[in-house]
Amino acid sequence: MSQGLQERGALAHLSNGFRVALSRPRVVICLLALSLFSALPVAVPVYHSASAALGRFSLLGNSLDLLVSAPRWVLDAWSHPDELLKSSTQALMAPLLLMTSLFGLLVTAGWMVCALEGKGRHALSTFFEGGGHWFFPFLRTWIFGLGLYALHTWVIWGTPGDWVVEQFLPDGESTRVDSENTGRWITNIREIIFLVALLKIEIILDLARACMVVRESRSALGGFLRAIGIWIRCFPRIFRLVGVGYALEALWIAGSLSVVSWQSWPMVSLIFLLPFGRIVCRSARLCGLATFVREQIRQKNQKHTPLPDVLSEAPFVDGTAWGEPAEDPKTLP
Amino acid sequence: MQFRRHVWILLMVLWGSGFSMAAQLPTQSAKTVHYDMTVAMQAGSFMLTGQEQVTWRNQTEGTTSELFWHVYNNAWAGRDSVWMVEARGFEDDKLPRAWGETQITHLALADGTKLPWSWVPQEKAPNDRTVMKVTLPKPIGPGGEVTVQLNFTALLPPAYRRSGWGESGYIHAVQWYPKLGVFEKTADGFSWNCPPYHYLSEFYADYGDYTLSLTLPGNYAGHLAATGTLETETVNADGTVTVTMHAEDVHDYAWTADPKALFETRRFDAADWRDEVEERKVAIALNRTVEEIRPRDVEMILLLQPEHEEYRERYFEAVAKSLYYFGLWYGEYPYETITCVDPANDARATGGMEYPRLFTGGVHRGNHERTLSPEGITVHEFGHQFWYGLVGNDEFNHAWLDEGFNTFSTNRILAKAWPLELQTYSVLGHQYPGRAPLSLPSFGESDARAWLTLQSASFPETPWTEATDFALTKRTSVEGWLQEIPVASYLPEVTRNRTLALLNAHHGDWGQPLSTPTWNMVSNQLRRTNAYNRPALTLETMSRLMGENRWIRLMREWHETQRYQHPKPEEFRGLLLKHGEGVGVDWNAFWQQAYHGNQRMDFKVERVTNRLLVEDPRALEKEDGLADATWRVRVEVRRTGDFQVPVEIDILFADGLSQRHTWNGVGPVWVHEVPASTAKVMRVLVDPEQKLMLERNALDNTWIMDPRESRSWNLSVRAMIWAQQVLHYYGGRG
Ligand SMILES: [Zn+2]
Repeated sequence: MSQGLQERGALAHLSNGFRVALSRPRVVICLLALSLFSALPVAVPVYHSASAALGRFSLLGNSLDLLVSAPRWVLDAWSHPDELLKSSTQALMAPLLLMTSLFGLLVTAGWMVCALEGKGRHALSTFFEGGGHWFFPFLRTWIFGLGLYALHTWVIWGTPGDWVVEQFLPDGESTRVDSENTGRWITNIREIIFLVALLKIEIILDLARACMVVRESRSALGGFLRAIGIWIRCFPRIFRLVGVGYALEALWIAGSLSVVSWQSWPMVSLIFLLPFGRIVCRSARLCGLATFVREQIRQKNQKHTPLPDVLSEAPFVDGTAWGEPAEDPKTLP
Repeated sequence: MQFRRHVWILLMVLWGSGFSMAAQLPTQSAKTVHYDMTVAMQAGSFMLTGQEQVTWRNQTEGTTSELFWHVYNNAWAGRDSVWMVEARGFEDDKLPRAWGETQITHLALADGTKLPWSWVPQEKAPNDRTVMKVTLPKPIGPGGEVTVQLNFTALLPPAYRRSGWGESGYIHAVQWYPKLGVFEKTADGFSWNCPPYHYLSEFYADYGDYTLSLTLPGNYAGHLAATGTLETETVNADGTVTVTMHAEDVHDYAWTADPKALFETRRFDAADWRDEVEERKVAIALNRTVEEIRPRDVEMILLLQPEHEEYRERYFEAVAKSLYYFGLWYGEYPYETITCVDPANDARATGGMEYPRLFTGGVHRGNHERTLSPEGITVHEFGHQFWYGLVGNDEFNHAWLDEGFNTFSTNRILAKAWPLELQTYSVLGHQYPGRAPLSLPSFGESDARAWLTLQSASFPETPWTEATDFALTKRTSVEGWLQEIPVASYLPEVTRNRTLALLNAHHGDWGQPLSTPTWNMVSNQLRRTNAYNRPALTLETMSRLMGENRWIRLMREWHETQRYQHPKPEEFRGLLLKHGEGVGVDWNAFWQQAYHGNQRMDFKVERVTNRLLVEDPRALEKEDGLADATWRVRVEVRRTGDFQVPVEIDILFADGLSQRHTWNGVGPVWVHEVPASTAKVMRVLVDPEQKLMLERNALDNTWIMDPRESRSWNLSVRAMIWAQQVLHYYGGRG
């Protein structure tokens, strides 16, 4: 720990992240609206299809709720003649998923910039300008990330993973050993390892992005290498920051659901409640990671060449600290 | 067999023209065969060495000088068997890890006269060795009998397609000994009905008594269950154990041994499971006393895998409820014991099968209590004690007579004796109730759209590179949970009634008619349809059209007259005509369409119009102006399928009065018009009591004046919550 900079705890970064997110209601509302609108293309065809198929259907002796409970045969009878609904919602969802993933880059950048910049300017413009500025550099991390995902998937579910499983299960089949538990344990452990690996990749990618923003560097590879360094050095703290962030998100979900079921709030309120909490929690995690990375980089730099304390909170030139030709990352020391 | 049949017909005539409802269960079978077997299995192998003395009585009016035998363990003796050839035809390419095989080492009459024998070549598989023909020195005429001494060795395969063993010593011995076929009357005389082991069917044999002395390695002591009642168990000087067993009036013999399984015996007492409402209903329908129809006590034996301890009570409960309801409805279970086997994990291939007095279930850990697993499989496989075991139809030709009747009965018991099943999803092997409102897009390999969902990357072939496809991720149960957050986005309570579930099992044409011989179906899928689901729906439709009391009588008579017999579908048609008389259904036409034909049953409310007849338009302007208006109403119901069957139509008017019409269903359309009605039509129900379970699309059978917008609203809210969670997840991916 360097003497010039006080190191803050992981949870302090996270709580700071919450402060950043909650003090920018306009950004949160904007993201909430986006969550509503992006889900509409799925909900609207469902509405029309259900109206046509079930609207004039009379189920004797039973009121047909279809929000909480439903007879399966009615749902199946609805979905069977309307194969189109399935294919059309899937056709709608697929590009939406890709677009959301890409838009997530903009959101990540927006929050990181907001967190690093501090208050001052109009929140929405900081958010979107920051997001727009970093979108393409982040796209490189995204493409890089896809490669990492593919590699992890191959290691765990491909030939290497299969080889490991075959050491316990002949031919990799769970029905080749006399105990059912063996196969279950192996499959579960494999799933959990895969999930942890996914989470790790996501954290490292976000760390890389934070490094890029903090250092004002557009090099994805450089960001990634630094992120690995930070990950190795500060793994427990990062894990605490992210883990507590997820735990709070889970609490929010549980709380929202219990409010809806206990207090008889209508189910429709979940459309607002769930995304609100989840957006805030994700934003807080991203902001927390950004300030955490800034702290780490400052400390490291101070050991070598002391930097001014206010690196990324420098006054804006023309409304933005980035994008000037002179600040092309390649020309930075 | 024919003799017994005639005796029954005579008794029926003597007891009067109507079906007398005094208890008429036969107490024993015709005992056409008698098997006396001594079998030993060497330690360290799954090779059985056996001697069997078989006596066959000719109970027909025909004469034969041959004996035909099933030697079905030879289905696993190589790739040349009919079974294996048919399996390849159905694109089932899985082979056993090791072959099994039966060899005949000695064959003679009881006096030592050697008998010539040969394998019967089959058209599809000339080298098949699953049917053996023995030539007798002299013909056996009506009432005659012959006793044969047959020695054999049978190497059982590692568990594969219903039979075999597991690594820890679990042995499920089925189709393990040479067994006689059925000599019976055919259209042109008398002949042996002894088909090869087919991929799609395997059971048909005569009833008789079995005595078996089985010697196994010592670790199997106390760990054996079988078709027969265990009589003695002796530990031999060499450490082996010999068990003697005996069974009467059965048509097959199976045994299961497992040194690591838990064995428990409990007594079934009908008093513990009484359903008084059902007892009274059945007693009244049959005109018998409740005491006459209440099932008797039976020993229930459970062979349970230790890691399935959590299912011990559920297995027993399912067996007990089955004993109760099957016994109550069709006639008491006549044997002393019933054994339920929970197969070893590496012998799951032996699960879900039926043999006289012994059946196999099967279950995975982590099931939700409302999943009805193992209950569903247990009730079904138990049910075969009645449909297959006690009523021994020719499964090769008419599998629907056991599987269809059994699916029908199973569904009724599950609906009556358990709360409705819940649909579930799994996370890390544990089930939780819920159903996704929609499903995530998933694209197959080499589908470029898979990029969109970040699932896989597909690159088309170029002049320089081959087409490649690699996974970017794998949707595991936990990741699926994180994507969808089921606790928030799924419908938590989606109930499943198994009978109603069958409504959606079939789309398009039926394929081959029900009357098509099972062994000759064109696909396994079609066999499932024609042997299980379609007959279950057909029986359910018949029962609902006929009414519960008639149906109880019909099924009781079917079971009581066919117990220990080999029934034919036409005999069931006879009962249908008898018990269905007077309910307004032409059962001959119904049978023709449902059994010989492939007709689809489908009705639809085509149009409903309420036209206001206004004499004085000013009346409308008054408050309550429509109160004394008159309407020209017209209801149009269309038969969109080609199955002609009477159907009821219920019309509800705004004044609360309703009309019930019956349309004979013959023409293509039914129109009901009221030129001047004082109330408009509010609701139309075609088949209001859902009697027509063969109906293809029940959703368009009803019409209500004011569409229920809340349903579509609710479903779309769920879909929206679901889509939001998925999109939120993807917003953080990559
Ligand atoms: Zn079955």
